[in-house]
Amino acid sequence: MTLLQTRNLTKSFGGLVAVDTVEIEVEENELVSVIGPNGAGKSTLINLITGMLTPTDGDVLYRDTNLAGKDPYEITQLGIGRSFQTASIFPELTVQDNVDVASFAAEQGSFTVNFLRRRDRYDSVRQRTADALELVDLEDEADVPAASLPYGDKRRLEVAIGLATDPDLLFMDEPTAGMSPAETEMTTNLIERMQTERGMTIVLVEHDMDIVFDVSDKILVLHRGEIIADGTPDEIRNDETVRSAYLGGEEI
Amino acid sequence: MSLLESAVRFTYLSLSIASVYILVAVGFSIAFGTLKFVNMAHGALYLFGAYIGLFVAFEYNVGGSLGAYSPVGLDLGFAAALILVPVVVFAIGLVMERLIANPFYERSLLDQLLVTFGILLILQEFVAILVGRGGFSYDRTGWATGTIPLPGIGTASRWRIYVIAFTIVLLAVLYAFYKYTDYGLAVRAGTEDAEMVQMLGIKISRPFALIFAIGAAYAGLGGILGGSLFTVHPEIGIEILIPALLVVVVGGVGSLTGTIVAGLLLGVTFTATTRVYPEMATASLFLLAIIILSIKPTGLFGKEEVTA
Amino acid sequence: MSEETAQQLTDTDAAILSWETWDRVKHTERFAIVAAVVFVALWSWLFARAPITSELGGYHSLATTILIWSVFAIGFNLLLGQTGLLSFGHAMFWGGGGYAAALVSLHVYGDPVLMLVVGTTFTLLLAALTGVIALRLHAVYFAIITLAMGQLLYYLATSPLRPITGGRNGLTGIQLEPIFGLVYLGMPLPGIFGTLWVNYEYLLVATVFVLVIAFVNRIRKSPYGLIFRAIRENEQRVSFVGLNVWRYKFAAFLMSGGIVGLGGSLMTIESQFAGLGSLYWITSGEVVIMTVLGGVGTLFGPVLGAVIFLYFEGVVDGFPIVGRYWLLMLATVFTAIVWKYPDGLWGMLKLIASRIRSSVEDNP
Repeated sequence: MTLLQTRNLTKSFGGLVAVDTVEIEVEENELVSVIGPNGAGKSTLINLITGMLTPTDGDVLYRDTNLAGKDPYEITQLGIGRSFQTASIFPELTVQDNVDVASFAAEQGSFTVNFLRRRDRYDSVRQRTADALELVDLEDEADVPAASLPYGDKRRLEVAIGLATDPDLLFMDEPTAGMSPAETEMTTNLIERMQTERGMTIVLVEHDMDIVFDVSDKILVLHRGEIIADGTPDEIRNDETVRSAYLGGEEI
Repeated sequence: MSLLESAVRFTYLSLSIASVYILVAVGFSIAFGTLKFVNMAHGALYLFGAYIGLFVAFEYNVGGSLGAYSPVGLDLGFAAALILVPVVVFAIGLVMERLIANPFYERSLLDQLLVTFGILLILQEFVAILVGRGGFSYDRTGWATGTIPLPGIGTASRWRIYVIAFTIVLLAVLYAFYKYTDYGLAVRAGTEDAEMVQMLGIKISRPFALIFAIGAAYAGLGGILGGSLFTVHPEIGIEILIPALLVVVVGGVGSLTGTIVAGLLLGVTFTATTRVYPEMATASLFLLAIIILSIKPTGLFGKEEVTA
Repeated sequence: MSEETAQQLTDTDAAILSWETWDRVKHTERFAIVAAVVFVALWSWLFARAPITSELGGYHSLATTILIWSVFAIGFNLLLGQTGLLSFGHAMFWGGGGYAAALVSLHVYGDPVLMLVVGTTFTLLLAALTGVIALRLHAVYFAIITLAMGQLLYYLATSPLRPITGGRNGLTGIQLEPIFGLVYLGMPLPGIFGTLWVNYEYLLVATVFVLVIAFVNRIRKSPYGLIFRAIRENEQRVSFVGLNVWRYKFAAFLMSGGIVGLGGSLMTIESQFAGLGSLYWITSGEVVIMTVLGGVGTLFGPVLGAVIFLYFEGVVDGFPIVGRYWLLMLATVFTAIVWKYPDGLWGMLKLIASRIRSSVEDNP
C-alpha cells in the first residue's frame, strides 16, 4: 500500500528551483533512500514533506491526507517523524528530558497535558522514553546533560527523539554523518531493526553509498531538483544516467 | 500661515526628526544585521555625541562632580563640534567593539541585550555624576539659526534644513560605502552568511570593527543634531533608543533601505500626531510599530527566515 | 574518566550520607514550599526589626513591597526563564492589574480578595489580547513589540483614558474593606505574631507569595515546565516532535501575565494607590534587572533580585554620599553578573556552595 506520495512537488527560492515537479511514492514498510550530489535538493525535499517549508506548487499525500500547508507539529502528529542533519537536540536538558519532550507529544498529543500534574506521574511517557533510549543504547547516559555528550552520541540522541515521537514514517537526514565506524554500524543495524521489528517506513538521506546500497529497498536519485532515476539498488547501480550525472562514471 | 507654508513646515519638521531617528537607528541596525550583535549601549553613543558636542562648542556651568570647575567647555564653536564629534565617537565605537562587542559575539542574543543595557545605564550614570542631571540646550551660533526665505511661500527654519541636508549627505556616503567598497561587500555578504565570507578568505573582523565604529559615529552625529533640536540630559541615551529601536524593527533588521523608510514613516507620524493630539505623539509611534509588525512580523524590509 | 568518577562516587557515598539526603530533599516540591513559608515568616522581622540584621536599614513596609515585587519578578521569570521570551512590556500587566484592582475598589467594593480576583482576571484578558499579536514575533522583535504595547497602554492611560485612570494624578482614595468582611488588613497582629508579621496585610501578601511559589514550582515540575524549557533551547525541534509551540508559548504568556497582574493588584492594596509609574516602561526594565540579577530560570532567584534591587533603591539611596551612586552601583553589579554569571546571583551562590562542598568532600 502506498503510504506517501508527492505530486508535482515544486519549491523555488527566488529564481532558483530547488525541487522541480518531483513525484515519488513510498510504500508501507519500505526503506527508501534519497541520494544525489550536494545541492541536489534532498534536504529541501524532506523539508517540504515534513512541513518546514511550504511548497510553491504540488501536493504531498500521506494516507490520503494532503500535508501541503500543514504545520510541522500537525504532520508529526499524523505519524511522520524526522531526525535532523545536525544534532537538533535540547543541549541544556538531560538526555532523558530530551526524549521525554517527544514522548509527551506522542502520548498526550500536541497540547493536552495537565499543567498542574507532576510529570513523574506520567508512567507511559517514562516507558516510551526508556524504550527509545534503549534502542539507541543511551540508557546509561539518561541523567547526563545532552550538551556534554560526544558528537556521535548526540546524533543517536537525535535519533531517539525522532523514534519517541512514534512515527509510522521516519525521515532521517544523514543519520551517520560524523559517526565513528562502530557507531555507524550500530545505526545501520538500528535502521534495519526499526524496519523489520517495528514495521516502520523509513526515508533515508545518506552520503555513505555502502549503507545506502546495503539497506535500501528502493533508491531515488535526485539531481538539480529532479528525480533522474528510481529503482532497486541493483537497477540504480547499473543505470547509465545516474553514473554519468552523479557517480562520475565510477564503479560502485 | 498659508496652507502651502504649513505643508512645507510640516515636511521639514518631519524630516528633521526622521533624520535623527535614522542616524541613530542605522548603526544599530547594521550591527545587529551584520554582526548579529544587539547593542543597547548604542544609545550611549548618542548621549556622548550630544554631550561632547555641547562641551566642544560652548562653555556651560554644570552640576555634578565637575560643578566646582564651572564653566566647563572648550568654546570652539558649533562647526568645530560637528567635525570633532564624529571623530571622537568613532574612536569610542572602536573601543566599544573591542571591549564589549567582541567578547559577546558568541553569546546569546539575550546576554548581549542585557549586558549592553547594563552598560548603557552605567555610562548614563557616569555622565549624570560628572555634569549633573540637569538639562542643557544648544546655544546655536549665527550661521545655524534664523530662517531661510522661500520665495512665494514664506520661510523655513534654517537649522532644520541643514540637519536634513546633512543627513542626506551622510546616508549617501554610507550607501556608497555599502555598495561600492570591498568592505561594504564583505559586510553585505556577512549579513547573508558569515561562514561563507570566511570561507572565501575575507578576513571578517576588520570590516566589522570598522562598520561598528561608523555606526557609532553616525549615532554620535545623531546626538549632536538631536541635541541641537531637543534638549540634552543624561537620560537621552535611553530615550532615543526607543524610537531608534522601533525604526530598526519596523524597517527590518539589517536593511539600510528599511531603516530609512521606517525613519521617515515614524518622523511623519510623530509630527502629524503632534499637530492633532500632542499628548499622543509618542504613543502614535508605538501604535504604528504594533500595526506594521502584526502584519509583517519581520518588518517592512526584513527577510523571512529561511531554514533550508 | 568514567572509572574515576565511579570511584569518587563510592568514596563520597560512604563518607557523607547526609549530602545524599539533602540532594533528594532539596528537589522535592514540599521543600520549596516549606522554604517559602519559613522565609516569609521570618523575612519582615529579620529585615526590619531583628537585632543586628535590621541595622542594615530595612523597614516593614519595604519588606512587604519586596515580597510583592518578588511576585512580579517570579511571574516575569516564568516567561523569560522558562520559555526564553524576553518581554520589555510586563509593566502593562503590573500596572493593568493595579488599575483594575483600584477601579473595582473605587466603583464596586473594596474587599482585597475581590480586588485580587478582578486585577488578575483583567490581566489575563490583556495577556490573551496582546499575546495573540506579540507571540508571532521572535527574539528582539518580540521584546520590542511588547515594549510598544506597554508604552501604548501607558500613553492611553495618560491622556485619552484620563477620566477612568485619573491621568497623571493616578487613582487615590482607595478604601479597603475588611477581608471577607472579617478583619481590616491594617489591624495589628497580637503578641509574637505582631513582632513577626506586624499586621494582617503582611499575612495576605505572604500567603499570596507562598501560593505563587507553589504554583510556579508545580508548573516547573509538570510537563509544561519541560516543554517550556525545550522551547527555549530549540523551538524548531519542539514543533518537530509534534507539539504546538504557539499554544505552549501562549500558555506561558498567560500564566506569566496573570501572576504579574496578581502582584500588581497586591501593590494597589498595599499602597492604596494606582499610578502611571506602574505602567511606564522603566518598570518593565526594573523587573528585567531584578530577575536577571537574581537568576533567570531559577525559582528563588527573582526573589533575591527583588530584595537587592529594592534595597538599593529604597535604602542605599538614602545613605550619605554613596546614596547618589545607587543606580550606578546597581547597574555595575548587574552588568558584571550578566557578564560572568549568566545564571545570576542565585546561580553564583549555587556554584560557590558546590565548590565549598566538593572541597569539603575531598578533604573529609
